[in-house]
Amino acid sequence: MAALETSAPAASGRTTGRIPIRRKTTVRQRLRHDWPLLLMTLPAMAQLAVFFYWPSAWNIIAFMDYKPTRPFWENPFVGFGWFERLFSNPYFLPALGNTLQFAFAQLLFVFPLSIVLALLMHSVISTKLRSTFQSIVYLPYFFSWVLVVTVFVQMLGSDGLVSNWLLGLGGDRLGFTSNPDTFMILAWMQWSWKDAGWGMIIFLAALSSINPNLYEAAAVDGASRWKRLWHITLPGIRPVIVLLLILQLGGILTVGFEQYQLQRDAVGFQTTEVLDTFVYYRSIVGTEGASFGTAAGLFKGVIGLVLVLVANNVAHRLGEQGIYQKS
Amino acid sequence: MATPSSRSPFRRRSLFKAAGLGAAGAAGLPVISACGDIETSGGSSQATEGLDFLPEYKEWPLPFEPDLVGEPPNHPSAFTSYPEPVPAITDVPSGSGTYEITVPMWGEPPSSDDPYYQALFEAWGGTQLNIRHADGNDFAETSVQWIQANEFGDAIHMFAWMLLSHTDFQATVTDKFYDLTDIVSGDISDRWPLLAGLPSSSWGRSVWSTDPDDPETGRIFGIPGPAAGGPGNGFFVRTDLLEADGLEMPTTVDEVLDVARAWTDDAAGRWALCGLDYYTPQWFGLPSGDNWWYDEETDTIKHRTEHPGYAEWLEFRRTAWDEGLVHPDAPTGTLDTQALHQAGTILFQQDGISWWQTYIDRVNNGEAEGDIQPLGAIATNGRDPLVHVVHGIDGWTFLRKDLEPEQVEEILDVVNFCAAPYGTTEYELLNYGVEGEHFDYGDDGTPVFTETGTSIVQAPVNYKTLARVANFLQGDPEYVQRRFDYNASVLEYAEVDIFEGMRVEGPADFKAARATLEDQENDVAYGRAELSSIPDMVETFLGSGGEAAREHYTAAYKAARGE
Amino acid sequence: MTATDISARPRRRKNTRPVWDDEPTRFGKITKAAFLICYAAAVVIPLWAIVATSFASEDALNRAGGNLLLLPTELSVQAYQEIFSGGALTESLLLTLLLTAGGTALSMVLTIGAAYGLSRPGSLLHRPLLMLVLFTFLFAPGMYPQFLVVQKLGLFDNYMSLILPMALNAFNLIVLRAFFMNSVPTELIDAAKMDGATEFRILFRIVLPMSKAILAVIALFYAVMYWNIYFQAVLYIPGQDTQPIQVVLQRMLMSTQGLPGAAGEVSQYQTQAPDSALKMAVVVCTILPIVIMYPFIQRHFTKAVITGAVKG
Repeated sequence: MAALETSAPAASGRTTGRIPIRRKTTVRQRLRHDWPLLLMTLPAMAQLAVFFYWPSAWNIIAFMDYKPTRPFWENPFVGFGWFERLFSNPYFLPALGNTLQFAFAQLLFVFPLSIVLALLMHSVISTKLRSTFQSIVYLPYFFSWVLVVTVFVQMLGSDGLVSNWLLGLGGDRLGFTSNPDTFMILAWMQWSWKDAGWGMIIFLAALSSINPNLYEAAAVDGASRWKRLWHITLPGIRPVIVLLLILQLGGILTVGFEQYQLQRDAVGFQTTEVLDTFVYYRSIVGTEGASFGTAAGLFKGVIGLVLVLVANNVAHRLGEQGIYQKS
Repeated sequence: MATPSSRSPFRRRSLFKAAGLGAAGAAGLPVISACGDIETSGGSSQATEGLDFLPEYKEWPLPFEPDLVGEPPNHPSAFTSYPEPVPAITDVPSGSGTYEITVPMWGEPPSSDDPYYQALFEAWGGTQLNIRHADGNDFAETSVQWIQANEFGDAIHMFAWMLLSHTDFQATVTDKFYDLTDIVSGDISDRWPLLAGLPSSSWGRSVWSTDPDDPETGRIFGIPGPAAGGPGNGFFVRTDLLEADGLEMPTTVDEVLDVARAWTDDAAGRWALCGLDYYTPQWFGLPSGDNWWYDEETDTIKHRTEHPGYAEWLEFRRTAWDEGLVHPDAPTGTLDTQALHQAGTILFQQDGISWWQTYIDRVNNGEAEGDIQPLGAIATNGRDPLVHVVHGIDGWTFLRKDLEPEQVEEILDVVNFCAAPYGTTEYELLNYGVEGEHFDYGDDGTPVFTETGTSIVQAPVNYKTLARVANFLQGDPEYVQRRFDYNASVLEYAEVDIFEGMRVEGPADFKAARATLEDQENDVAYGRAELSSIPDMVETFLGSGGEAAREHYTAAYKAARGE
Repeated sequence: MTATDISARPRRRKNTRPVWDDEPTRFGKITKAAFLICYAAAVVIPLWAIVATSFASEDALNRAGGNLLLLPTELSVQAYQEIFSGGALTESLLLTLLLTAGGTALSMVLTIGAAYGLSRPGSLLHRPLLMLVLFTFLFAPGMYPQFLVVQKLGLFDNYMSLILPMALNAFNLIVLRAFFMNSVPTELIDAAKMDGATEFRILFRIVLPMSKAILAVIALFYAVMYWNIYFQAVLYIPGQDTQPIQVVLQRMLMSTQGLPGAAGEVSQYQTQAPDSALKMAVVVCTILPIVIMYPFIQRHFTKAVITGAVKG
């Protein structure tokens, strides 16, 4: 989301500081001048209005006893009643717990893996080797979760390739893809397989923007490989690391739906229930009703919003840029 | 960052302004009206007898008497011969409308472009009622959304057990479906003689009250589906595979396990058992339906979780799983178990009773081999066996609320046709299709399906299951005899409906708690939770809806007994 | 990533170790190589097994235990013939292609329009409109309200529900907007305006031709998104007979459930090709378009990252 900030630079020469000083033109004049731009923006705004802001407004039913069978305004407001029900639901807190667990595991184990991969790749000298390897590792990022889970089941499932080898060697089937105790490891492997390559590409881009003269100077000064890594490389990619961390924190309750839904039956709902699957199974195809599901979703949305703001604030205090700017 | 900070569109001030607005808005709401409480549906119970607005019952004289006379409803009579069919409807009304009905489909949906449909449309006098087959495995859940969005076409066929997935079906019914009362009330034998011949009790079961608190506001919202009678499900075994391994038909639960142990060969990819969730509870004396039973000792209504057999049942399932007797992919719940049973990958299959006939049909036209037979009534720990049977009717057909009365009447014309009983030409067309295309007469005059017939006409739910004026066992004579004998053999163990004369819908909280309980039962059964967690699980269930529902069901029980 | 990166080109390094760098230890080299090779193998081997199985004949599969195999001894294209024989699988592939093409076209129209429309700071309503876009990064309306809106619009069980709700990706919009603002010389636009060109003309004649690479990348990202649609189909079109290929794949592979009748009346019990081969052939069909697009994404992607696309 650093992109948010790149909106200005090229234009800055033209308009720096002038934005607040409106040209002395009337709205009508500006409309005459700018209507083509507005017209071009209109379809996108309409899409946002209908599929982002309208649903956002529907969140109000989290505070109502909403029943689809009666007219909207006849649904009484019930305050935070649904949130109380949410927290007294015996399966909400476990779902929240699972969500946080998966989110932190992603932060702690997948994120560093991307950095390590990028550093290793960066140190590969041969361009050809590097680009080949890059292409291979990055490819699964474009696969759907259905495909990723399929590949894992076919390879590591109880009837998969590895199981059949083991059976052939006189061993037992590998119940890895349906074992709730090891699901965390499985999920980690899936994240790594699918997403580590993507993280790697981003960090590689960041690494390539570090001035090589810095390394040369350090090397001439006698800094070892590790010292250079610590004092030049990591600080060089720190803004990107912080940025990605903040974004991950904001989406911390959005650990994804498909991966868990797809493996729910195989591993059991207790292990795989996250907030999104909770909303889906309890309210959309369950019997808890619209207001309940909306309340659970709103809880998630608000926590995400607060986390981004807080994380960004912390980043500012640490002297980082974060995703938006201090004024 | 080279960007002058004041230029960034996302300055902190403006962001907080935007965020603050939302927070204030949200915080303001409870102040506006901190009153009011959430009303979840408390469930409903509807008397299905003694209603005066039902269609007047006019007996529809059957053209033929059954060959085998049973003891309906739990032991239906049967036909082992195929009489020369006679027409049931003499003057076919003409129709011109095109309608669509959504029905559940288990397995491969048949092609919708087939002479079967054209022949029926023609027989109906031009009315086109197209079938939309939707996946039966999640029909109950997705029907909630279809109905909410009015996306079920003009009609939807629902089985009684599917209602459990609806938060408040009583409100849904009255809000979304056509109120048929004015059309079908009184004497309808002129236009719909077959529908007038449906038992009053089945029309009574199609009544919902528009005001949940006032049973006097009852109206007819559904067209009652047929009542099959007898056990609706079976635990089928491949008898040919049993014999091949020199094994005996099990007669106790322990023997089921012994046979399973002897037959299962993991390395060869064969497992004796697969689904054990909805059929096996009866082996342990657990009740069917909404899972309530009457405990004579304490004179109270209890849930199956409070039955001594409950823990034994889960222990049985767990034992089977731990010993590797269950198909390892069974927990996914998405196996095509019929195909596995047919392929001999699994020995036992829990299924609807119709699997029996389907299997025999497939054997007859060479698709499948061997034979299947349901296990008889078995029990554990010296209990008397219990056999779940279909109480009342299977389900209903509901019509879209905004149809015109003339359109409803046209659809009722079709349903009237579909209610024709065994031995009529209508029945033959519905159940066997077109001669030469879907079936041929066998040597004894009994229709035998062709391959096309098996795939098109034999769909578990289609026009032939919309309504039926009288139900008999029918089909392959040998099969009919076997099923008749089977029904007779389990008749004495048939479960008694403790809510006879009432249709009870559980409170929303109960339904939600029950759904979760089932998830947890599977966790225990598939080794994802320990057996020792059962008491906690039961306690959570009772605390989060079970206990409250007990009052509701107790009241319904008393009302049903006239107390 | 900072704005200064925009001007920075990815530095092409020479294929030799710089003189100041010391040779890494043997152990370090071996560990590094082993790690990277294992990682690549974890991606390549499963994909190879899938392709190999999809071309395997029944005999070869039976010898391998009916599941995946690594070396198909006898090749057979039966599985592919079956997929493209005009049955349910063909329909599903066609539907997914259609959704991908239509969705991507619509998304590009929305994204280009808004990116250009919002590329002039100071134009009327510029800031409030931009804020509306940016807020979508911070908050999610939630699954149920989105579902309700789709339902209220009558899009439930309608294929449009797989396109419209996700037609605009705000992130792509911002990236493209940044590119328009930074990489299209202002002088060109000003000169065109002097000549009396309308905004539409400027967009089509000047801006778009200069942005081909980034447009291609964004279009490909959209295309991959539509191609991979699964959850939305589960949520919004549970009643449709023809489902996107990912749903079909899920139904086929997450279970041993039968395949959708491959050719009209041919039901699951009479499929011609061996089961595993057919399944894997479907997997190959879902991967193939991505692999075909992949080199394009690869080629232009670095540029997009440098433009500031840090997270999609």
